[in-house]
This record gives sequence, C-alpha cells and structure tokens, in this order.
Amino acid sequence: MSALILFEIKKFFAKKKNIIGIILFLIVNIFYIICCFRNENIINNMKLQACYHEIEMQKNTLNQAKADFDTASKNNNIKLMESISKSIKSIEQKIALSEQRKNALEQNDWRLLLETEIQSDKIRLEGIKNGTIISELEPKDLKYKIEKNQYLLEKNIKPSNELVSTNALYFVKNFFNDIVPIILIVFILYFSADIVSCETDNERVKLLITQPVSRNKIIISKIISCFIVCLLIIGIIFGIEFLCLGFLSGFGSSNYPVYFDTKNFSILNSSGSNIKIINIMTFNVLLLLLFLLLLITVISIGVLLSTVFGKSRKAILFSTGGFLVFYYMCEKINLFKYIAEYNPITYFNIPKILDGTTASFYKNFNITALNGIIILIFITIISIVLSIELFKKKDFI
Amino acid sequence: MSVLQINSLSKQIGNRRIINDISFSIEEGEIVGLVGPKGSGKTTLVRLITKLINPDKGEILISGYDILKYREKAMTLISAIMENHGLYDYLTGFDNINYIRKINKIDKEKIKNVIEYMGVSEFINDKVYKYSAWMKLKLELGICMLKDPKLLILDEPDKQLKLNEIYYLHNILQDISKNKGTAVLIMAQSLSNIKNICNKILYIKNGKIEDAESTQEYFIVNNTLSGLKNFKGEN
Repeated sequence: MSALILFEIKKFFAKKKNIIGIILFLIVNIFYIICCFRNENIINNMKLQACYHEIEMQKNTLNQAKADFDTASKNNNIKLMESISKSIKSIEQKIALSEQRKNALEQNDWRLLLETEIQSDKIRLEGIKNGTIISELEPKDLKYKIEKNQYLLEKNIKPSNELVSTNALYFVKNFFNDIVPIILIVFILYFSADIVSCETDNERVKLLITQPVSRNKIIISKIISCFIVCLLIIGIIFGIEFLCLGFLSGFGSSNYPVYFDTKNFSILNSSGSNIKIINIMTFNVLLLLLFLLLLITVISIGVLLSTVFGKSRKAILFSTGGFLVFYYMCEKINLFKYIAEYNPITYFNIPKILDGTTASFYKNFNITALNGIIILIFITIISIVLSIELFKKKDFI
Repeated sequence: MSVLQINSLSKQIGNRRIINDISFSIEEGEIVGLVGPKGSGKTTLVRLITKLINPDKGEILISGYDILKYREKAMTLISAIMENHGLYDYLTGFDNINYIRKINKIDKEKIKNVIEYMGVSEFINDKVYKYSAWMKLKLELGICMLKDPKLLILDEPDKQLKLNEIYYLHNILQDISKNKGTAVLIMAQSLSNIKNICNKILYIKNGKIEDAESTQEYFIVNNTLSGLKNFKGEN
C-alpha cells in the first residue's frame, strides 16, 4: 500500500496539469492577500471619514436643536424646551464621544477607541431598550460586542479589522471564511476528480490492474495519496502565507476574542444559539480539525465522480461545475434552506458554523459542528464504499 | 499442470458475444500464437485472462489458481503487455519499472539485471514520452520479466515495430521461453509475424477457437503454408 501511495504522490507532482492547478491556486491566494491589505487600508480611512461625517451631522443636528430651543423659549413653550434641552444634552454627549473617537483614530490610540466604542454601545443599548434609538443591531449582538471590546481592553489586545485582517492568526479565520468554501473546494475537486479517470482515460490503469494488488487497495491508496497531496499543498502555501503575514502585519494575540456558539458540540436541543467568547487559538484549532474532515469528504466525492465518469475531462468538469451550480443553488438562491441541516454544503464555511452565524442565518439551530461532523462522515463513508464497489465491478475495455 | 487453462469461457459486451465458449490450455515453456482478424476477440481474451474484465461464464486457471477466486495470487504468475502500452509517459523508465518492483516486493538488484538483459540502460532515466515504440516495448518486457512470470501475454506487440525489431523481439521471447520456462501467449492479426516462433497456433474467429479445417482455410487464404505446417505440428 505504501508503494502505491508514494507512487501516486510522485505521479501527482509529475503532471503538468496539477502543477498548473497549484500555480493557479497560489495566484488566487496572493490576489486575496493583496485585496485584504488594500481593504484594510480602505476601511481604516473610511472609519476616520465616517467619524468626521458623523461629527458634522451631529453638529448640524445640535445647531438645529438649539434653534428650535430658541423658538420654543420665544413662544414660552416650557414642555418643548425641556424636551429639546434633553435632546441637546444627548447630542452633546454623542458629539463628545465622536470627538473622542476621532482623536483616538487620528492618534491611532486603540485603547481610547475601545473605551469610546464601549461607551457609545452602552448608550445605544440603553436607547434601544428605552425605544429612543432604532438600531440595525439586535440588543444581544450589541451585548456580545460590548463584552468582546471589554475583553480586548482587559487583556490589552489591539483590535483588528476582523473582516479583512492581515494579522496572521485572524487571517486563518478569514481564509477559511473566504477562500475555503468555494475556491479551495473547487481546487480539491479538480485534483481528486482526475485521480482515477486520468488512468482509465489513457489505459494506464491496465498496468496497475494486472499487478497482484486488489482493486480496493488501489482506490484507498488513491484517496490517501490525494489527501496527503492536498494537505501538503494547502499546508505549504497556507504556512508560507501565515509566516509572511506574521512578519508583515504581526501574528496577533493568541488570546484574541472570537465568538463561539457553545451549541456546536452540545447534544442537547435548544431553541437558540448560545454565544460565548473564546480565544482565537482554540477557535483556529477547532477550525483546522474540522477542515481535515471536510478535506477527506471532498476528496472522497471527487474520487467517486472520477470512478463513475472514467474520462478525465468529464469528471473534472462535472465535479467542479456541478459543485459551483449546487453551491449557488444552496447559498445564493437558498433552494435547500428547509433541509439545510442535512446538506453538506451548509458545513463548508467552518468559521460561520463555529460562531453560529449559519445557524442564525437559516434560523435552524440544529446546524451545529457536531451535526456537520456526522453528515460529512456519512457522506465520506458512502462515497468511499461506492467508489470501491464501482471500481471492483468496472470492466476496463 | 498447465500454466494456463481456459474452460468454456464466454463474454458478451452489449448485444455482441465477443468470446463464445472458448477452451484451450498452454503448457510451461510453450509459445502459443493466437491469430485472428480484427474484432475476432483476441484483445477481449487478453482482458479476460488479466481480469481487466469479468467473464460471463467459464473458468480461467493460472497454474491451477482460479483467477476469479485467487486473483492476486494468479497475478503474481502472469505478466501482460496490452495493445496500447500502459506506461506512465510523464515519468522516467526507471520510475515505471521501480513502481512495479515495489508493488511486487521484488529485490532492488533484480532491476539492474532486467535493465541489462533488456538493453534499456541507456534511456532508463529519460521520460517515457521520448521513447520510440520499440523502446517502450523493451521497457514493458523488462517490467514483465521482473516477476519471472509463468505466463507472458503479448497483445499484438509488433504493431509499430520495424522488421529488425520484430526479429529481436522474437529472439527475446524464444530465450525467455527456453531458458526461464515462461509460457508465452502472443496475439497477432497476421500469422506471418509469429509463425516462426510459435509451438502452437490457435485461430480465433467471431469469439471462437476454430477447428483445424477452418484454420487450414484461413492459412491458405492468407498464403502462409509454413504456418499451417506449424499448426499441424509438421516440420
């Protein structure tokens, strides 16, 4: 078996098609990192611009309120004067906070920025409760945000632009959020869908079949070798990216807080998510472990399609194209939202599963990491058994 | 015990019966030619013997081992060269031969002997896509000989070869058969290519091994009287 696996790996790296695939994947990754750097700068500038704009708007509102107050005082409308006076105080408080926020942004003082954000979020939360403020964020989300910012402040951790962070540890999370669910899966399918069909396509398989090796071993060795190769490619490319970003933007604190839905590994049913804060290191370890399972599942599906189609081009086209169409139907059109918990594609975005975003999106709290593990293991076993049985019964004409 | 024993073998692909109740045997050290026109079932027979495809009916025994029940054991006893070579042409000749050595758990020393015997040492480290048909065939023969097989099967090996290369090939096959006791089953469309080296000729037509009378007709039609003599066992 080891001879078969080693030879499969050797064959993989000797094929031009695969080398082109690896180079393409590398280019996509570099492009993604460049976009992250660019977006990080844009967001930093936007934050400051938004702050200026907000202060200007608040000052205009204050002037308007003062004018209204003068009119009310001329009319001797005491009730209105009291009400406007309250509003003026509130606006002045907001302006003070915004000014503080602006100074924090200009001076790059992240501690002051955090303090300001906590204060303004608390005011916002109070306002939502009193019904004086309408916010796009729900009170529970605001509470999580306050909790997280307090954690950052207590642990003295510099916050990062989470959606586009080039900070190495946060990049891991973003990579699995942005690159893995579509792009990486397509590449894995591209490699795995070729692994059986490329041999049946040009009759090379006959050399192997006429050796004293069982067909089961041939398929299993192909799955294992594809897993090793993909892991090697992703590991090397991702490892280099991680180190480069670490040296360029910093590795970040291993205690950086991220949301985690505790329902993910709970077998008890409950009607909602239960978010708590865990450190990014723990989150990334869970992420990588789940990714290993996802990798095996995708490879098994690719090998099954490769066995079914027999022809290399057909297998690659059907698996990658089919996946993209199916992904679009699931994620964009939401065609299978009622059976989302049984759909493997739901679990392809691991960070969103772990932080409970997917469960909240589908309003289905059975979408948990544990459920994902069961679904992916089930699909992996079915795919491997079918591949073996089909390959065993296949006539190589 | 026969090296190859085929009993009542049949195979249908689609609506066509490609192999129709075939029975024959090959003994140790024998060189047997299987001659027949295109589409007569020669290649299908090779595929059945090497279990690339499964028979509908019948039995294939390799040195007494039923290929359906003891495939792996039977495969240690046979080597085959298919119509279209099965080499990995984006790898070197050495990679190809070494791969088969590892699968069969054969000693490393054996590779050196085989490379030397087949005369492929000059180009063994070149990528196979650079090889000519004759170089590829020599490499494939080397790969086959690694196992010291009891039965060597060649499906129309001389298709793209020049006359002098065919002559060399025949010498190699005769040597293997004589000195190693390997039985050889060689498929050909034309009797003239193999008549000089075969101990026995079988004629296949429409998936059936034909009787002596039909075979006589075929040889006469193909104007190969010496083949007929061989077939009859005359000198």
